[in-house]
Amino acid sequence: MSQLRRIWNRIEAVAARGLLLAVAAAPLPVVLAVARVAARAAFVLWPRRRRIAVDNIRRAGIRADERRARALALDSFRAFATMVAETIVARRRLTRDNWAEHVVLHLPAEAEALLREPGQGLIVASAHLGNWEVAARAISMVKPICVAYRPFNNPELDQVAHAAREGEHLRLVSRLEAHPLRFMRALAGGDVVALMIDQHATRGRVAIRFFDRPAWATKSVAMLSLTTRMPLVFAFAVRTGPLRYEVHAAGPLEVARSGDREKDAAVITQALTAEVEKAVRQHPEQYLWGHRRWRSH
Amino acid sequence: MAEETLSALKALLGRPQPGAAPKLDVAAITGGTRIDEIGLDSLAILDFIYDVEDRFQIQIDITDLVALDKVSDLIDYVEAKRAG
Repeated sequence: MSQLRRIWNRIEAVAARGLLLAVAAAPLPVVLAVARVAARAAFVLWPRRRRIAVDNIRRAGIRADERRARALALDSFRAFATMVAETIVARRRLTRDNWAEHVVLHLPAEAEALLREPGQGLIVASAHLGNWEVAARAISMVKPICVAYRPFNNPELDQVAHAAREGEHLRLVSRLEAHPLRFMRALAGGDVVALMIDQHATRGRVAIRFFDRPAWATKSVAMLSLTTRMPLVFAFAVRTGPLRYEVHAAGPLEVARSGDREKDAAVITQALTAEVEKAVRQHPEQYLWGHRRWRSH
Repeated sequence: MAEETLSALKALLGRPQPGAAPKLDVAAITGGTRIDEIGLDSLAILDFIYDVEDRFQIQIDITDLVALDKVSDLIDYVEAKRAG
């Protein structure tokens, strides 16, 4: 690593630490106002990401015309900035005693029973909708949770972000971490394992349809379910107000094995993707549209 | 028996996989190889477990699986399951 890169990495990490301290200390209305301004600035100054979001919204058929698609894309940018801001705030404000005042669980009875049963492993598939970080934090108040994440390229920044996102029973596990049995161990230990399923996958993937368009999705969640036979649910948290969320879930999904591994993985992943699509249709303004979801390679 | 099972496991590991799964040095795998040193990532090992269950018509319990250390432990486990 070059000296210049090291210096830049340090600057990023120090800036991130400063931002975290400032956001954590400031009153929530101020934090949310700043997040809205930041979202507007990003929308204006990041034309590539804005274009991707607008195109995705139109391709999904959520908004047909350019003007309304742009408005929804701006809402999506705001939702993301709010998500980041409230995630930082939630780290200090959500406690074991008060979390249920902030996050209401609307789970099917069977899914709720699995979540509350000590020692019962549970696989949760989720999507970049609402606030997935707060959802994980809330679930960690009920049962230890292990969340797969993609580390930043800057290791110093990653360390800062990692510390800010983890919690007492909320463990982040890098997708690049070496031990291949890490998620199985967590499930065997009775933890929740949460993975995102709504982004383009370059390997270990299956072909699915998302908003009736061909896309690629990771088959990790499906394979984890097929091999561990642990119950699998889809869950997401929508924002209902300042630091207020509702967690919704579907499942547990029935998982049958046919002996054709790739086919089984595709069937499960498609079923999960259909749940993502249903949730996104209900809350399109809270979805992260600025991701290149439909790629041919 | 153990040799046969090892050969069958190596055959599964050597099968071409969909996508761009990294190639394994299957010839170098012995009973003494640690499972986490076979060269499988967290997804490839799930594929492998599925294939082992399918090939030997057994069901591997997750709590048993995470306690296995070496390939020889897996061989013993598979053979015990088949016998039982």
